[in-house]
Amino acid sequence: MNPSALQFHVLGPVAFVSIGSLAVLLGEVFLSRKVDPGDKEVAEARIGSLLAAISTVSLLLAIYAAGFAFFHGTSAAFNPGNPMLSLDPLSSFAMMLVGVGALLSVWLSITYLPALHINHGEYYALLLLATAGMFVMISSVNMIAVFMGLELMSIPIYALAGFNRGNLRSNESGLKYFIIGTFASAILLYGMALLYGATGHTDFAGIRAAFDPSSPLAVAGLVLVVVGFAFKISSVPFHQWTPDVYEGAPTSVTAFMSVTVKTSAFVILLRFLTLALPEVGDDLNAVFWVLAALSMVVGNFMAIIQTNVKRLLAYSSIAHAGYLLVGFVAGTEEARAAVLFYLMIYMFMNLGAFGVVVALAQGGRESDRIDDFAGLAQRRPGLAALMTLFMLALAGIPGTAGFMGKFYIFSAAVQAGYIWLAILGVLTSVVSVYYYLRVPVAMYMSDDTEEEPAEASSSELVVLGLCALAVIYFGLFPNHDPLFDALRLLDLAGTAIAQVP
Amino acid sequence: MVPIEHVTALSAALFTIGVIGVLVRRNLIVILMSVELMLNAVNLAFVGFNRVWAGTTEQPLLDGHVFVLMVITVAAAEVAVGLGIVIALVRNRDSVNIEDVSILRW
Amino acid sequence: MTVESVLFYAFAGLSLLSALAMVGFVRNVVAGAMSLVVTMISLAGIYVLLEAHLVAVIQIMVYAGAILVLFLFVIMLLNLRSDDFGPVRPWQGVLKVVGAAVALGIFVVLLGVLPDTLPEVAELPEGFGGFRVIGVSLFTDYVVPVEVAGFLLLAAIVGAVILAKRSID
Repeated sequence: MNPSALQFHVLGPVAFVSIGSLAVLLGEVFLSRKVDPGDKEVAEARIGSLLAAISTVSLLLAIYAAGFAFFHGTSAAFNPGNPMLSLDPLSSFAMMLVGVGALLSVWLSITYLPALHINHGEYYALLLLATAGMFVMISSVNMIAVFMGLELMSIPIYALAGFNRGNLRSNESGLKYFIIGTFASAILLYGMALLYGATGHTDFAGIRAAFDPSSPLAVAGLVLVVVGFAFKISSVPFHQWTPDVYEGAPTSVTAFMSVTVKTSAFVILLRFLTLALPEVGDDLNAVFWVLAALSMVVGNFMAIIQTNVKRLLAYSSIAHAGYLLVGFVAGTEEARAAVLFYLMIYMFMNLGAFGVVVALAQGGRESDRIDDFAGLAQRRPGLAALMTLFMLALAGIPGTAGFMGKFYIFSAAVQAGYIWLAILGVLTSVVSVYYYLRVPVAMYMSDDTEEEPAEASSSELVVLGLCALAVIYFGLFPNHDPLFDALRLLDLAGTAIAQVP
Repeated sequence: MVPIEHVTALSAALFTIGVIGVLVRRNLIVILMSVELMLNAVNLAFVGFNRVWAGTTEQPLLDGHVFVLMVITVAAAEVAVGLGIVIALVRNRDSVNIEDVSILRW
Repeated sequence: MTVESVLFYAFAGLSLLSALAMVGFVRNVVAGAMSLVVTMISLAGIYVLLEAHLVAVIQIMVYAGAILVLFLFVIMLLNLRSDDFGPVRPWQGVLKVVGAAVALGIFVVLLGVLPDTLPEVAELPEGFGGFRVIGVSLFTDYVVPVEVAGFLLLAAIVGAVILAKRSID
């Protein structure tokens, strides 16, 4: 192979993030050598912020590299003889999304980890490694790379979910995610093996050329692959792990995985279906229809009876997986662009909501029951107002970004002829208003019962402010500014979808 | 000559036994071993299918073999992390029965 | 029947029996781990019959040698000799039957979709399944997965240490 033909810039985003993880690991070793045992807490906090700064730099570089590729319309693959990773508009757009999600999660962790007494530098290294895995998975064009990226994403997240290792709930969260995750990987792998057996190829292009929809072997493989991904996007009926894992994991980890894992899994499913199997979309539609309807109904109705905000948000994330799957069912280019747009909106809404829970943690304890939010409006009016905004956005109230996201998805579904599914989506969204509003009701209508909550730190306020700004801006001014608004972003998402080779 | 169709049938049988183990057994270690059995079934399928497809072109097709090597690597990594989680749990709880893992309700 | 097919059915029967023993019959975790070793070694034998020599070697070295030893270490470390018998709840029997039925359904479907006859290519390319061919392709065509595997192992090491270490300083 001619070395000059290798297009190393394809590896740019992945390389920045993985080198960043090595820098964090080494940095921790060298920085903590000189720690005076007297002021261990202070020194740990300082080391933690330094490592967060390293992570921030590497993530910013990765986002820049992905953004550069996206706005220059780069389309290249590594390596040329046997393409594994491809940097094209869709993958670079998704990498920007995931990179921003990871960056905001890093900022949420800076003061949260010390508050729970788990301020170890390995946290940032694992988070960056998981992000590198997502980048690999998002940009892969070969099932081997998909699998390796999936595992590089999952294994650090198993460890992160159990990161608060003195806490039984965190242990169990890690354990449940691990068992379900490996089980789902094994199912996904068997599907890949059957697809390989049916087509003789592991690369998407080869599968596309050799795929025969009338071969039961190929169809069985495809179904197993979809089931494996359905576990990852926590769609009903493969959702049972979600509430437990979301509740038990440290909140900053929950925030991270709820947005980035969902984004990466949806994007790779989209890539796999469009690149490898463009012709079988119609046959799969029935499957996605059922998954979408079940997820919307079960997610929204189970959320009503929850008393814990993290569990409530877990069921809400199942419901949102349902809304996103509606876009998959519609299957048109507009619908897929709406899915990408919704993933971005969802990232800001969900990170914001989890960010408020993060900001309330103090003294080794989380405040994640709805009762803990009682009377918050009197003690922390700012946080209460932000939480109300994110809850309204998740419910899809007009004037917030959540409404725009749902509007584009459901109107794409109606245009594609799936009127009943869109009606079901709107009805379940109405149901969701009830449980989302329980949190503001508790904050504004009940009396103050708890002790003084923690001050939100500046890094948390930055994240919350950015999320709130995005939620309001994209909601109130959908086509205000010709340069940067919701319609423009929808346009960009459409570009990402349309330019898939 | 090894009958390939029986190789794939064997892999389906091993995969099913692994699935039964995950769904039915309650001991965490046995559940982990059942997942390993499922991965082994996957590997057997890959090797068998690679034997079928090998030689259909001039170049040696090795996708299946490479996939198996990757699966084995990943299995080793998964087991290390999984057993780490089990050790942390047993320190706090002193049991490896999955039924005891139920502070978090459904 | 050729020698090869006799060997294949012997290995297949052995792997099925020991897999069933691991999942179904054995109440002792150590015995379960040992049955899994038997399954893996039989599978390595089948890999040799399928001309996957490197995979067979790695199967024995990594699976039987490293992974199962890790299992045994943890079983001994935690002093887990037998299955923990918790209080049996009434719905457990039902759950077992349902689980087994689902899995058997999967098996029937898989047997249905797997092709009845597959062509076996008699003429294999030179060096198929050997160290040289796979080694060269690992570092040319498949260099990306190999590099990712490196980071994956790093993540696993860091994760396992952070989870299982007695105290973090």
